[in-house]
Amino acid sequence: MSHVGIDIGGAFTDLAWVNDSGEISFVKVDSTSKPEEGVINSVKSLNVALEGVKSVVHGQTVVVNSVIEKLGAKVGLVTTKGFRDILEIGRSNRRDIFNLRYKKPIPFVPRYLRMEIEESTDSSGKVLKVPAIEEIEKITDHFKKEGVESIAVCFVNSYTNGSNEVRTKEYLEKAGWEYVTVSSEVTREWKEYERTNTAVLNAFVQPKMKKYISTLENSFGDLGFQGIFEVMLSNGGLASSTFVKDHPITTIESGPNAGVIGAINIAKKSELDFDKGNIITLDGGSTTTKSSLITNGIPKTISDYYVGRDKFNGGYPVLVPLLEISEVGSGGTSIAYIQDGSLKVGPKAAGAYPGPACYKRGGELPTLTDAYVLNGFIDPDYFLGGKISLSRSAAQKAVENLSSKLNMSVNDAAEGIIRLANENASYVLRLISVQRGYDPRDFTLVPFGGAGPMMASFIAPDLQIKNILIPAIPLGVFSAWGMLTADIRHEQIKTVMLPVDSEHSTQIEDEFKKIEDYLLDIFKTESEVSPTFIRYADIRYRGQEHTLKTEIPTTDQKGDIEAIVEAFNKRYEMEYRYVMRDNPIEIVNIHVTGIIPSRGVSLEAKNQEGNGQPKGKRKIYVNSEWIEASVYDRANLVTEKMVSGPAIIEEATATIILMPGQKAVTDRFGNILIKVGGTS
Amino acid sequence: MSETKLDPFTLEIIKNGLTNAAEEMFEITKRAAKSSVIYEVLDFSTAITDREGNVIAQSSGLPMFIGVFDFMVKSIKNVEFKDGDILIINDPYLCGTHLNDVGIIKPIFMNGALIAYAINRAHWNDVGGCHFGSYSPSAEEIFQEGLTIPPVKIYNEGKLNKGVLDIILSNTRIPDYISGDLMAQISSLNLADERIKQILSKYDASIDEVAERIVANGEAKAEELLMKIPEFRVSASNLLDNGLKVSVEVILKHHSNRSTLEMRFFDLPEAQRESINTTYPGAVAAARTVYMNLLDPHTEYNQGVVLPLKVEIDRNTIFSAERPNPVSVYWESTTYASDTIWKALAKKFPEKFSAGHFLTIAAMLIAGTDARGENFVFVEPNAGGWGATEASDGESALVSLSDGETYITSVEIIDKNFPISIEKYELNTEDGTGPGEFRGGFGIVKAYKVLRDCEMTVALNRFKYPAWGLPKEGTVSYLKINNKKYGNVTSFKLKKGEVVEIHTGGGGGFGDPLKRDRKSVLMDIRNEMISTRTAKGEYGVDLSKDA
Repeated sequence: MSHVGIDIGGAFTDLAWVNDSGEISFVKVDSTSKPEEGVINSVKSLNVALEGVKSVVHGQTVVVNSVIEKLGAKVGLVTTKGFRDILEIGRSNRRDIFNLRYKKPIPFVPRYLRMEIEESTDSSGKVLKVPAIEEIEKITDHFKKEGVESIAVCFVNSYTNGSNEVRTKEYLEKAGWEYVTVSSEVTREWKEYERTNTAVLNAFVQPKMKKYISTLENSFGDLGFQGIFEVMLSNGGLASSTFVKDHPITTIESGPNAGVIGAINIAKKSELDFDKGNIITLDGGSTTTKSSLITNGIPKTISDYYVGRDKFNGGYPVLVPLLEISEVGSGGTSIAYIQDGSLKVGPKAAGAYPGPACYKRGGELPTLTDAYVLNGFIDPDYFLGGKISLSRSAAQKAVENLSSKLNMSVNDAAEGIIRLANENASYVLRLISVQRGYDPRDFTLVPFGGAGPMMASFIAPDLQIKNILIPAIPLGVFSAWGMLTADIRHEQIKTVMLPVDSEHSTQIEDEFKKIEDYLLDIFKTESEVSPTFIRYADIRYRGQEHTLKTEIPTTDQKGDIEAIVEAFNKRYEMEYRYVMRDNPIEIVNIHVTGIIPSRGVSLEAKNQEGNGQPKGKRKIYVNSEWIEASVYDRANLVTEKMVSGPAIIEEATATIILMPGQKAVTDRFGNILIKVGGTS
Repeated sequence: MSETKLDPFTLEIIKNGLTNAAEEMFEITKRAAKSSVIYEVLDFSTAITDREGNVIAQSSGLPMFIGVFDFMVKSIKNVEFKDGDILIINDPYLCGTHLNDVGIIKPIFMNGALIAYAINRAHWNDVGGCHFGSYSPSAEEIFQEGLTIPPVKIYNEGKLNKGVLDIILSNTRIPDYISGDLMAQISSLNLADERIKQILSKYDASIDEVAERIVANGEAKAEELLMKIPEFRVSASNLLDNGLKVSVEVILKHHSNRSTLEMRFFDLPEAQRESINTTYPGAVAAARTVYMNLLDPHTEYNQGVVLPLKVEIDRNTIFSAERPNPVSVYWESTTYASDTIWKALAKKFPEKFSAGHFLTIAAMLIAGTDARGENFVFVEPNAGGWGATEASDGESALVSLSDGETYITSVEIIDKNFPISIEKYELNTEDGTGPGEFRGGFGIVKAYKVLRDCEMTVALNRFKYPAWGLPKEGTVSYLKINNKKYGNVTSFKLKKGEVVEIHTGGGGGFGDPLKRDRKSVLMDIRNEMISTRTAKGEYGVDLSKDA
């Protein structure tokens, strides 16, 4: 029995095939402007017939690209009377505070397609007025005339009770509309602008995504596939392709998730000695570095996310649960430059084209990769296993432009670029650890992606991280493999606003139960295995606004109030360094995650034919001096032999660095653990 | 002090570290505060200054707060500090804005020496005075506006000064909220303390050198941008709703080695015994916001950047009020100050500016007791229409110039948390906007229905004279209660079930309406933003002829 993971990236579409004994094979094809073509190409290039494949798991960027490029369906929006402009008013903030010509994000539905209907639900969930059918009829006539393809419905206070929305949807479906999104079926969180926007974006991408998924289903079927087709969600889990056709917005930020999930699972699987549940991932790409913090093997989810938000632009809010992954615009091809007397690295990047200066593809600006080449960390003749030959002299010329302005040697300038880039990445790690009350010393760093392993040995000492785990899977295709290790996962967040006291304990329990029942219905359509549920609540002291997501321990006692209070106070103290025990607390949102664990993937023990000896030596520039480092071929490492820094371990898709004092050991699968301890 | 000169990489790393510390202070305050005006509206800012008060790092947030941090530090120059002290201050004559904005300052010590200050300034919902919420368009002197806190230590060497805290909490109607907000502010300062020390000791760097370099680079950047602009001299006036007139002259001069931008207010009315004043620091902060837009709005703000700017105001005018003139509604006054500068510059540099905006913060305050019998205060600003530019229509429903990354409260949160129900929230197409080849943006109409007896205070400006246009002006803002229109109301009694509508104005237009692209006029009709009558009357597009 075997499984296939397919991950679409900017430049390549990667496919990983794994069977039950842990045998792995990979395919890398060019991504295509019609993404389904690249996916089908990758499957056709695989030397395995699809008949025997049990499941295909897919990570795609169709949804997020459709939103960013604004290429989607013509959407009509139905709102509560008096609230037609919610989508355009937004929250009215001016993100670019000194700019007197600031522009808000343009709404996805123009005013003439935003129609009002008389209906009302109050904040306690009581329906005060049901929508009148005649009014809906008028609206659909208008939508038909205007060529609307997909309808979104969002009513004020529908987070408390979605029945008016559902009633409207039922009518619309009877009237023949194929694509209808109602907000309460996408999210049960309050804040009408954010919820409306989420529903509208779902409606916007739905026709395109449904077509995309159907095309793949048909093509896989033509190739003999009879297994199940699953899609990666933003929350790091998988769902059936049927679920995703109705809820495409739940996949909007699924791109970076597969690597995180893969890292969690490879850590669990490895036979090396470290705390396997507590890891920080470091995904080093060519333009960005991403990081996520995992405790007890469980990733964190958030639901306040904006597409297209940056320092000066507001972006579009999307209220769907997604893995908390922080990002900085600094990666392998980030450009170094001087601005206002200061040196900067990123967020401008050279990408694959024109690429770093050393690629000789027309790029002339100095990048992080050029700095690595100059200071000996990357072998210009063995980049990507020798597939691209790099030019040291081009790198030198590019960095010289900078070093001459700064009156320093070219290698000192290169070292400065490396330090700044690492500092950018370090900042992201601090953001998700120290700033949230987690001590990075308790975590193992798991780098992947082309640039991750190179950064890791610089960053780890900075944050006093003791261990670095380098996964056995080829680091450049790690995500496609990671996808195969994901669980089936559904969750719902619902705003309930309940005081945490004995009077409300039954009600709290009931609300949790309701969500679990709702989720069970979805799971039943996807698997025969019953899911396990994890309960969370977004809690605050009464009077506060911001909540803390707190895991609610399962105790024997139903609706155990004491346990909730205790869990919250502990969480609060960790985050803010003080606690107000006497203050009453309240639950704003309850949140249940249901999981059917992954079928599991195995790793194959690698043969131990190597001798563990270095293939050579070369000089690297560290702390303003050249030191000699041994160079190893990763394939040549064996389990018993320890490697000591300074050393460089090379594999086809990445370079691993050991700084002086760092030591590496390998397990029988080929995972490498770098012991950082002793360096500072 | 370290003797070696910092290399540019280390300098950049330390600078980023300090900015990140200021951002972290902002985040922790936002998440831990008890009042919606802090966590939701984000009416606060954080900063780090050197020991001279030069701002070297700050969070985003309110432009008005960012511009007064240096005044705050200068006002405490004579206080003797020990490690662990924390200071509290809200005296507006010393540090700008109004009594509600309470600044907490922590001097940072390293190796026994004072090296920097961490500052957190936030809006407190009530600091006493004659009206709930402490802002009062009808106040005649500051004593009616609440408790003035001169610079005093709320912590002595790490120990809480309980007496001071007790005085403060005895002077507010909502002590629980205030103590929660204060805790949030203080925890952010302690965090900054740790971060600043960590980063400096890691690189064995002196903050004086870091500050000096940051300020020097900032000044060089500003000079470079100013040098690109030829010398000019422009002026403009504005009429306030009470008939008073304010005027400003803006002059750019290039000297042999530097440039200066002078903003000289002239013929200003004396400070009034009514709430239309700001103190001097507030007016300077207002001038700085427009100055930043002239330079390049994406310039990184620090003390060096504003060095070429000189703001001249005579003593004790409505833009430089002295004790005891009332200042609780200062923001309307400062916005008039910046708006007048903006108006002077917009005619000269249309490609950098836009026509005038609705200006007023339109702060709605509703207070009373909720169903549990507890006091509540609901405060939120409101959005309005901005002016058109030479290339685009003005933005609709955007917060005023003196607000920045400020969020209007969600309708569902108001419905759930307060005895108020929002019955309507839409673009104000009813009152229209400034016409032009590019038209102004639209304001909003928001209807608040109170579900219990409440009192309401609202300070609205431009209910008489609308946003200025280039050349066509926008529309006015007003309150509608039982079909009567109001501008300012103070402690206005609302009976259970009554509905108050706020209408904010549209922005000024740009260019000749008759030159407006026909397609845009038709699209506005299709979107029901203008009527066919307006299309014909203002834009000369007669649809009846098409039929």
